[in-house]
Amino acid sequence: MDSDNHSQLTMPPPILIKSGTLLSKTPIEAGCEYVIESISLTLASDVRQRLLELGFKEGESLICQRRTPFGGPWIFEIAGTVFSIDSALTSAIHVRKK
Amino acid sequence: MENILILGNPNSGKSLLFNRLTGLKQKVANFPGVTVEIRSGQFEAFTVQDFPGTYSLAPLTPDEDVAVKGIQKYIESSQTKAIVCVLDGTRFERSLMLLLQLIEKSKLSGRPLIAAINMMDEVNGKSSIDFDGLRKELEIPVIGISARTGEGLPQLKDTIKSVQPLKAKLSESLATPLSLKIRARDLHHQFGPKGDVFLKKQNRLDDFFLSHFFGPIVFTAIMIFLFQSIFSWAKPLMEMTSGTVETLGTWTSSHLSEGMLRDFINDAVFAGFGSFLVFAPQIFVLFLVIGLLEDSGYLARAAIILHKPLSFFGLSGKSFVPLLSGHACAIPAILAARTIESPKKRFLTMIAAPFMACSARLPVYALLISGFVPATAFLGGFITLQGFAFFGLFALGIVTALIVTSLLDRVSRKSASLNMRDTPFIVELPPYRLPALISIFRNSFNQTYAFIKNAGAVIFSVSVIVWALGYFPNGSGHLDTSYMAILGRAIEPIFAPMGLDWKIGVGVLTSFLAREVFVATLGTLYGLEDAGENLSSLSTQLSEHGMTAASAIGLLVFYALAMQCVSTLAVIKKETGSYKVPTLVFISFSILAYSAATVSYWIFK
Repeated sequence: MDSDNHSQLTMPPPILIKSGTLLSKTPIEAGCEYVIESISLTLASDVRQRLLELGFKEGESLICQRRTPFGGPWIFEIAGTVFSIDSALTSAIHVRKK
Repeated sequence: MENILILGNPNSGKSLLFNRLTGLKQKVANFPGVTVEIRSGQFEAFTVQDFPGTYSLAPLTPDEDVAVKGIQKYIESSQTKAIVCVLDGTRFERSLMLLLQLIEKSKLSGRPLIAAINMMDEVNGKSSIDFDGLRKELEIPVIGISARTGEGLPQLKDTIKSVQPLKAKLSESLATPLSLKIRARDLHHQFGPKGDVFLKKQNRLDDFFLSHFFGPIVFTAIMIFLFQSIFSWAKPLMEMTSGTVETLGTWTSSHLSEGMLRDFINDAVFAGFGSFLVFAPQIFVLFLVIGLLEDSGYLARAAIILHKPLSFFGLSGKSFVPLLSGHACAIPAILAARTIESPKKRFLTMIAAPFMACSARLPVYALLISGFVPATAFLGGFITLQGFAFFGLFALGIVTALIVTSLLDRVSRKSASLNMRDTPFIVELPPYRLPALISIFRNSFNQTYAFIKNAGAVIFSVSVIVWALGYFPNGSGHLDTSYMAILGRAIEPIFAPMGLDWKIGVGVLTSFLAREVFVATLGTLYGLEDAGENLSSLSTQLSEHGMTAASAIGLLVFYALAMQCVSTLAVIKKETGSYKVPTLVFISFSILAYSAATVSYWIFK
């Protein structure tokens, strides 16, 4: 998909320095709060931009709500909105426990 | 005529606002589907355009791409009167991102922008929004509305009519996503609602709907309800449609003298096209139930519950909605796959969709099951063998689709040339809401009408061609000497291994254009005028003409797996931009269906 044609007012997302522990390697518990340290550069730039627009940015709090049935995606609350994200994303977000 | 654009995030309530503004004066462009259509309607002297929801002007999914391309075009057009950006007052900060991007765009083009903050009925009482502060800060009209209750709509309508073009700015903005995000956060803290408007209630409901124990049980119950509703709720409507078609057919016949015109109207129009119309209520009910589930906020939860199981087969939780729509028709299902970010999972979903037991297969299933499967009852009549056969055919489609996508996924992972881009799964969970019934009813009606209009043209054309080939050169009652008989006998050897004679072969051949033509073709060929309405009598004719239970089972398997729909192939071509994909899909589905049908015939013979 050609996203660049439609993002004249946007710039490439800022390069984030890898720090913190990967969310996928953190013992996630329902009710726990984490702070986003960085987003991995292994993700495509359009995906990183979308994450930023949805509120997944450095310093943002991430509250774990639950894991879904069948060992499915995790559900997190971020900036007043609830999102479900799978392991491909939890292994690209670096966090520290609050 | 000047245009008004309605834009907003998914689930911001813009479609409800669109319905409020346009009433019944609206049309659905292209084939309908879940969140992928562009709709237009009339509001006084203006044309209102409702685009698919998008989070940003940098699209990530093909449906967002449709929205953003449309926005670009209309923002630059001098025919655009105003752009209405719908924000969700209950998720204010996230909604502000798109508004801030649109403000930059509208300043550049001079097109006036109006911010309509929706869901105020839910915000009021719990919190408040400082509209005056926002107006001063953003320098655009900001109006609080509730598309559900109608609150604030007169003010919005007045603003749309009176808003003046902005003085266009010459320079491009240097805003970055990060700077816009920070500004959205500041605006939210300064002027937005304080505290969580919804989250506590949403969490309590998710405790139940997404619990490890109740979640899958509720999901299964809802799916059973959905399929049950397609059959039971649609039944009275189907009977009504069938009765109307029959009455009209009889009335028309009685007013026409004997001859070619009467034969044509009876056999091609009423027997052919009429038998397709009978199944339109099922499509309407399916759209209605999917609309209810989507509006209530449950559909996103269903996608999440199914994400892990579907991932095993190379699909995503987001494939669930397209595959569910596929049980009405593969065309909206393939279009609904646009909502999937991952090109690979989107492609696999498009391949899986035509295997779902679409409503076009139902008349064929009903005909053959009622004629060749005994109505033996079990569990005190709660389950019948015929019902079980229906379930088996639905399951056959789903299982085959999952095997095919699983194989393709594994092959593509091993082959660099076949590997496609994959993106992570991220789904926003919308708040639970009571569905807006009138709006959903109206949407379902419009979508069904669009479906009939699009598919009907193909079906009518096929009915006319089949009738002409069966009628000429010797007229009615001389099918055995018609052009169709010559064609049928030529292709008979192809269908002989499945235990089918030339008439059934012709039915199968014509239904490669559209499956639902099969019943009408057989009806025409066996000289029945009311094929679609008297399925049992047609099934009796089939057994009298030598069809056995084994060949009926083979034929059912063939219909469950074959790619018999020109419109679906055309949509696959459009969505993939390649002739290669639909060609390969057609050939491989046909080989698979033919082989499985022949094997089934020989097993049950």
